[in-house]
Order: sequence, then structure tokens, then C-alpha cells
Amino acid sequence: MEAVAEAAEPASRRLGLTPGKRRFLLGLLQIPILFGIWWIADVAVKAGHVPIPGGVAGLFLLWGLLGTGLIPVRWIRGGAKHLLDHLLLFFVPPMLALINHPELLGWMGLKLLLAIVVGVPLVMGGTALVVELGFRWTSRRDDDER
Amino acid sequence: MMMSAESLIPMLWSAVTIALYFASRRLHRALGKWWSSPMLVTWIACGALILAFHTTYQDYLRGTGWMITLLGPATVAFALPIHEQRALIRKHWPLLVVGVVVGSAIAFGSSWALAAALDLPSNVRASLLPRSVSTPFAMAASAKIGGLPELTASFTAVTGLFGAAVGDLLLARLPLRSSFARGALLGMGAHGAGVAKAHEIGQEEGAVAGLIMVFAGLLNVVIASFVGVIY
Repeated sequence: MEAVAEAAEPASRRLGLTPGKRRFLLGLLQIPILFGIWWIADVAVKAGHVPIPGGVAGLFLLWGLLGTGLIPVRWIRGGAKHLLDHLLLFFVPPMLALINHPELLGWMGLKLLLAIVVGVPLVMGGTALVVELGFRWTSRRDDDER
Repeated sequence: MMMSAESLIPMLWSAVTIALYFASRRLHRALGKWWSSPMLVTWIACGALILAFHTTYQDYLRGTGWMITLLGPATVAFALPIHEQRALIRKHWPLLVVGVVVGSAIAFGSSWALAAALDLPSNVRASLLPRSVSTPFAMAASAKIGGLPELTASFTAVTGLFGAAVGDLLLARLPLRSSFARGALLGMGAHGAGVAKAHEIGQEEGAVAGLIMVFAGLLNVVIASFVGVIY
């Protein structure tokens, strides 16, 4: 994997690519590494009958690999940035499944919208106030210790 | 080898979706309004084209299903922001844990109570529960608790859009002194859209929002996975 990523460097320089384009292409070449980690994790959770999805298991695996230095961040940074930057493109197809659910465009859709419109401020306000209280409490404690 | 025109049509839908996505990103850069969000514009434009061409969703999905496959490696990629913010995590993990646990509890509780009060059918209710976390996590959690992941994708999108719009109002009214609370508000309430907004406010807000979003996603999927086993 490293051989691929590093062989791509001088080749792209010979082709006269700008640093920006080179970084872009290097990122694309790194996506198969992330695909490989996901695949290994997916096979492992299925074989071990672990109920968590392969993607989440792969996240923990990569987190561990980066933390222990078994995989240097530079091998995956560009590829991970590409995938996260364009995340919303990948869930456009599932979002369009709404076409198969015309019942949601009527009364039920309004109810769902109401549930979201009421729920979101509750989640936001509640989370922020609790974290704010926690922050004030811990910073006061830190001041006392000082 | 000759390919028939019919076998090319599904691939054409991939090209259309990707082209609309990149065009809507440009549009959003020019307009910068919440309603010009690339997600909303690509969603509506693609939907309009599918309806205009009388394509079934199954045919559309035949051409674009590979994009959904990329949600797996994209979930793995969330390890990068976690790794890059390890200093922040080590220093402030209790606050992050409090934010994620309380936020997820309010999200689940309020969704459940509202869905029950509004008498929504059980599969729609289950699809609504994990909508406060980033889409790949929300879809995975939904599948585990008997929801329809593709509906969850839409509910999550609406949550993010509305959350990013209402986040400003709440930030202006709540007495929040710490960048932590501001980041937690946006990351927990509006996942991806909220994290983008938090990065506009400040570096620490952005980092906290991103971490809250990823950890809330992980917590939701792990809890949903084990709830799914018990049922």
C-alpha cells in the first residue's frame, strides 16, 4: 500500500502536476486502503457474529491502527478527507427512496416534520446547557486547585 | 464488446447524480443560503428528474447503489478526525461523554415521545429515532432497531437542514460562555450541517462539534446493535 502511495509521487511530478492536483490524486489512491479496512472489519464482525456494522468496527480498527502508529496518518489522510468531504453524495440515493413512499408527502409527512421541528431545539438546548454547566463546574474546580 | 443502450441507462443516473451534486456545490458557494444547501438541491433536482423520466426508484438504485457502498469506507474515515483531535479528547473527555450521553438520551427520548404522541406507525417511529446523528451511523442504527434506513436518511437530512437554520437563533439566545457548549449544540443537534456551521464560528467549536457528532453516532449504533439483539 505504501509502495503505491509513494510510487505515485515521483510519477505525478514527472507528469508536471500542480501540488494541489497531486494531493487530490494521492487521496483517490488512498481510498482503496480505507475500503480494505472496511472489508476486513466487515468480514470479521460477520464471522464473529458481532452485532455492530462493519463500518463502525472498521472505524475502531483504523482508530487503533493510527493510535499505535501501525498505519501512519499520511497513508489515509487524503483518502479520508475525500470521503468525508463528499459524504452527502453517497446518501443522495437512499434519500431518494422517498419516491417509493408517497404516503409521507401528506398528513404523515407533516407529523414527521412537526416531530423534527419540536425535537431539534430540545436536543440542541438540552445538550448545550448540560455541557455549559459541566464546563463551569470543571473550570471552577480547576480554579480551586490553583 | 457492445453494450446495449439499456444497460447504460443505470450508469447514466450515476453520472447525472454526480453532475448535479458538483453543480449544486458551485451554486451554494455563490448563494450561501440554507436553502441552497447542496444536499437539498441535489435531492430535489434528482427526484424531479426521476419523476420526469418515469424511472422507478429500483432502476435508479441499480445505477447508483455503488455510492451507498461507499458509506462503509466513509464511516471508517471518521477515525481521522478522532485521531487528529486526540489531545482535545484526552483533556476534555468527561465533557464530551456528558454531551454525547445527554444529547443522545434527549434525542431518543424526544423522538420517541413525539412519535408516540403523533401516533406514527412503528417502522416510521424506529426510522425517526436515530436521526440526530450523522447519516451513515443513523442508517446503520435504524436498520438494527427495525426502521427503514432509507427513510432515516431523509429524516436525518431534514434534521440537519433545520438544525443548521435554528442553531443560530438558539446560540444567540442561550447564555453559553464556553465554545464547548456551542460546539456540542451544533454537533449534537445538526450533525454534518452543524459541524460545518461550527467551523465557521471557531476552531474549537468546530473540533468539539465534530467529535460530539462522531461519538454520538458511535454510541447510537452500538446501543441500537445491542437493542436489536435483545429484540
